[in-house]
Amino acid sequence: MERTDGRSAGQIRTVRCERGLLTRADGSAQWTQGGTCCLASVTGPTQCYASSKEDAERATVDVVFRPRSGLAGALERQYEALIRRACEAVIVAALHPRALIQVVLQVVSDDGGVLACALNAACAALLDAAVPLRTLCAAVSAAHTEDEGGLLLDPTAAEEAAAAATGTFAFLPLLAGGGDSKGDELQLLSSQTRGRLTTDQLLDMIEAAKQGADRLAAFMQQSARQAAPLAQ
Amino acid sequence: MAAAAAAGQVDADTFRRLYPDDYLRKFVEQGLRPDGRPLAAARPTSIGLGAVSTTDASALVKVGSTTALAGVKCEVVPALPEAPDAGRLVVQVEMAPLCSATTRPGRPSEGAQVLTEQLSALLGSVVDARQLCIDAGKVAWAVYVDIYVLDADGSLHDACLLAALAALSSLRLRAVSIDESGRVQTGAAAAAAQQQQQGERPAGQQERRLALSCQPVSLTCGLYRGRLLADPTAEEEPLLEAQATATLDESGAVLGFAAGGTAAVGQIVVVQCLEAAKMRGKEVRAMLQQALEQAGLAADADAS
Repeated sequence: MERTDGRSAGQIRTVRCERGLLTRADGSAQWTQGGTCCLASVTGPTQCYASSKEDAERATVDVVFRPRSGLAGALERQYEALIRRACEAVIVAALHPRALIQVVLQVVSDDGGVLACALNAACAALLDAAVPLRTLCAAVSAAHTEDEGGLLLDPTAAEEAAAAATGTFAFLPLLAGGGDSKGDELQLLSSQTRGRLTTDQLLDMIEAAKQGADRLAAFMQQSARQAAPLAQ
Repeated sequence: MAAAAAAGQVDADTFRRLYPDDYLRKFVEQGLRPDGRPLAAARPTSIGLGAVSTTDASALVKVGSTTALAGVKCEVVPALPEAPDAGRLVVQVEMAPLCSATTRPGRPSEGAQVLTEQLSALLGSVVDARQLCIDAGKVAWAVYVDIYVLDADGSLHDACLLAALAALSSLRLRAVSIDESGRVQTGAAAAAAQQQQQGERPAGQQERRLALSCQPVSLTCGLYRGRLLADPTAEEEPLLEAQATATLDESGAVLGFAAGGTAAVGQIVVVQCLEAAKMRGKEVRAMLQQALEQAGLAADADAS
């Protein structure tokens, strides 16, 4: 089955990752997936702006999600919570007690899958800021369409709107040369779905997303090596 | 662990406060929870309908000591130009400062906003907004579902969703009449006006129930040292490695699967969560049906 933009059902849009675009941040990355683009900046480890946020044992991770236009609402807060938990899972927070690691995400353009794109941008920016990470995380969105009877990976906004159900899934992907991942294990880190699915459809969706996430993580790893050849 | 604790010099309550993780681990290793439940059991649940007399429908739900109060208020509003044949369903979750020690007054907390967003999306798919239309392009119902968390003792999504579902299930939209001049009346006045107008152009609607496309029920499960704990309390929640909330309807379809945590989970955990949520759904729906029957609001009673 071919999609309107010529992709196959399990194909992810062209991915681009540019790093170090912002000079005043400790790390930054712009992650583009087709028509969706997010700019992420990372500041930290730095001093906590509020003593109530300080944790005596580990660094606090703070995520700010800015929509393309308008003010952030409840949806953005939900995205922030999900991205924060995913970042907390990959950052070795115990290395920087009482410090703050702040991730700011700005949506540049939105053509579907903005949450997945933002999470990938956040992970790439954390790499760029050289924040110690356990492993990478990668997120993929998926849509289930009734009429075409198919599962679409990385749907565009139009495909999302036409879908019976959509979901975004983040994984600790299988990395070349080690990492925490255990090969055949699913390693689902976070998920969020909308719409009606059967149990099997949900499991298929998660499985397909996992394969997509592995490919994205391989790309992320490769782009990190290119940006910092000495680190190899 | 401190030597004092090992030597048994502290009592259980002190140990619980000082070493919450060890405290929970000792229970879970025995296949139990600190409150005496088995690992896979949810807390005792109660549904009280009509708790607030000033609302159109309300429900007070307790799951253990987690308490959520949902109130539904209906207003007749002008139809929106972008959706002339639909009404509105507005869901808002509020966490009062009294619900837990970490909740502060003022701006809604992140937790409350996340719940608002999750429940709006979920209930938006359960209530077809087109049935809230009164007169296409002119007036429609706006149904406000306000959910107050009175006691936040973990698994808030489950309690809030159940409170909202119970309140919406018991909701009756009042009779509406629209006279020649476009004046809108609701309730008893509308019913009287419709009696008078009989034979003329029928404007407005009789009192009716709100049709729900399905009955979603959710269950939150937590992963703790490789074991799955159903319906975690606020004490257990910060110790969990991962948490997942599965929302299923009566046919077993998944309406939402939200997972997150500091550890990744495998496929087996996902399947177990979905299975547990399915079982819990059956239990809770029977409870809800019973509560509706007692209040004389069950769907069957309405049909007869």
